[in-house]
Amino acid sequence: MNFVSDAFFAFASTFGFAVLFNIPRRYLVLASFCGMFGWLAYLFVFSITENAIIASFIGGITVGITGEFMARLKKQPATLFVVPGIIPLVPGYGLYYTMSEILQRDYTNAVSVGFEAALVAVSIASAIIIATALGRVLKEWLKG
Amino acid sequence: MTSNPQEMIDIALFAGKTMLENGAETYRVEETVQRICEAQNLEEVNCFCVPTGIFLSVNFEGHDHTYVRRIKKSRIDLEVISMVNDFSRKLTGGAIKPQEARIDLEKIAASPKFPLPVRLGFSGVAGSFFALLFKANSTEFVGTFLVCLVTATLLELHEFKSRSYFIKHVLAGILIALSTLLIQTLFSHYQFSLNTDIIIIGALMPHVPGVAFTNALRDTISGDFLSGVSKLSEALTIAVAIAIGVGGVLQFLPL
Repeated sequence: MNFVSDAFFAFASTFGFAVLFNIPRRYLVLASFCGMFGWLAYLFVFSITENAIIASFIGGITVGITGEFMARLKKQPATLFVVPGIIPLVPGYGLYYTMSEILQRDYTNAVSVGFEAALVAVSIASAIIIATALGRVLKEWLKG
Repeated sequence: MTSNPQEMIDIALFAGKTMLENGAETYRVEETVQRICEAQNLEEVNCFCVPTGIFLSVNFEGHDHTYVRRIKKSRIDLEVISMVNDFSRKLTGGAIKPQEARIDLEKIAASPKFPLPVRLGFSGVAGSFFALLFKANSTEFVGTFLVCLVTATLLELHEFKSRSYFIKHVLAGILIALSTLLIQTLFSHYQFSLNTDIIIIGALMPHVPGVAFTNALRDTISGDFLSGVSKLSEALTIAVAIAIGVGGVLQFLPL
């Protein structure tokens, strides 16, 4: 697995989505780094555990923490960095594939792909929420 | 400080509406509306927000007053969200006078987007680099870029743009499947072989509701159940629409 080229692909893909989401121009690069770090964390964990759900969770935590950090740094809402950042991780294709299997009446496959997609989304969502909570604790702690 | 509660409530709702129409999370909209109202020393401010509407109840002059704003369009524009966020901070901090606030908000709502060719190009970049994450080779990379570009350009046509989100996503599915078939025929004519599955995956990425699905679960986990359910149904319906589009074409013109 080639981490360097994958890092570049994730960066470029996130950059493209960041433009589509109309991110303020001065944050485009930062948001793309957010997506790159998340994907690298996902790849690293996936190469060890072979488990997409745990890997998505770690990827989500990475995106969340990087996003919170950039948000504090630039005094902007964290959404600006988190929404493009999770793009490489989200199970959009899994969701589409589930529906496509249902329409083709292959219900067994639909259930297995659908549950995987749902669990990946749950793990990313909970990871982001944990990162946000950590960010709030850190903010209060810094204020003293 | 309170000049006229009615005026400030209008501004708060306008700010909330602008945020929600540009894809802000419901809790952020609730917080913003609440913050602007409370800065005016209004009492019993309750704001409840779902992706399709804002409800606000405020007590002044001895009565409860209720306001409803219906939200119909929805897209993701993070710059607008960030600007309204700054705006509400300045407004509650007193840096913006209430008289100027409405003009400022109108300016934010009409703030410039990236020019159309740039957006089209980057939807190609987004999809094609995503295909590379799925181990596409260089031919498939070029193919995905072209498919994304064609689809995004056709979807910008006025006839397609004005349709409901459901029709729009069915159309996106159809266009992606058709242009993939076209590119495949074209490329195989010049002896390039490619895997159409990867092209379809990459080209679908700007349209599939992955972010909406994840945000729905985020809302549900943080206790905004109604907005979670509402976003979940949106995400599932979009996935069905795209599957109908792509599946319909592949049924009749198998790859």
